[in-house]
Amino acid sequence: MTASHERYPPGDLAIWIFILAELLVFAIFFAAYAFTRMNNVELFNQYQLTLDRNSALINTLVLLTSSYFVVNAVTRIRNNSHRGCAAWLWAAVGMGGIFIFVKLAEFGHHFSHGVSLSTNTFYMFYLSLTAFHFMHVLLGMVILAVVAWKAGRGLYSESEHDGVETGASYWHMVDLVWLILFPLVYVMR
Amino acid sequence: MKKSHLDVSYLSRAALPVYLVLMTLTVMTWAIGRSGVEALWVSLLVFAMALFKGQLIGGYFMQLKQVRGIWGWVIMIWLTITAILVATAFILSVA
Repeated sequence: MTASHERYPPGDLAIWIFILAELLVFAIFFAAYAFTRMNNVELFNQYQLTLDRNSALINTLVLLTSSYFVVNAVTRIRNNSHRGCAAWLWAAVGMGGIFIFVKLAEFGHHFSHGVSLSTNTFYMFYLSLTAFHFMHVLLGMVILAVVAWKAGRGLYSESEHDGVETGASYWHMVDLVWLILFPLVYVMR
Repeated sequence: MKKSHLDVSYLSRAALPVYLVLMTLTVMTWAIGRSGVEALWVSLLVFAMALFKGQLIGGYFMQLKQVRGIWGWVIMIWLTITAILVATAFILSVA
């Protein structure tokens, strides 16, 4: 497969500066988790087993599917189909809703067992990392919903669709971060 | 606003195969975790799969494969830095 090349990434350049800042924060979080674990391996391994890997699997598949839907929305608007674009974006928002539902159930399970940020170092990282990412999913859903609403009203076209590309880039970043978070916190021992 | 000149047919062709690879690797990651095998190399393998998935998201879904210069490399650079930090910590934890 070959492709034409551009100098700048798709969407508003400002969102890419924001994405880089977000990725930097998450990289620090991931490194802090890994280096703290270095001196608490038994504790981290013990409490990692209390996490629900099935929920994490579902949420990873859900986020990947939502990203695929967003890609379809981008291809639709580039083919001048604003209704198709809006439909795919709403579908992606729906997948985000499933992620939120599953994550809240997971949090609810832990909270009902008395788990909190101060329970131990593992849970402190688990709760803060996943809650921080959770907030990004919520923000991403709001962004996608606004873009979907505008797309549905025909405010984007084949030649003017920076908003769609901008929202898509942010959503893919949310997905990208989860792809690292999932194995790091739920699987790696 | 600027018009994107990125190749839409390229994105259309790549999206489904990339999505299927991402889904497959995700299920493999989960299965490895479920198997209960505990070893450093297993953790590093799982993390390498995650990094590869991240590069697929960056290169195809975020379309950076079609961007030249530093912007085309930003996700790869982020993944590399994250990989070095996390892998170092896991390797030192068993040393």
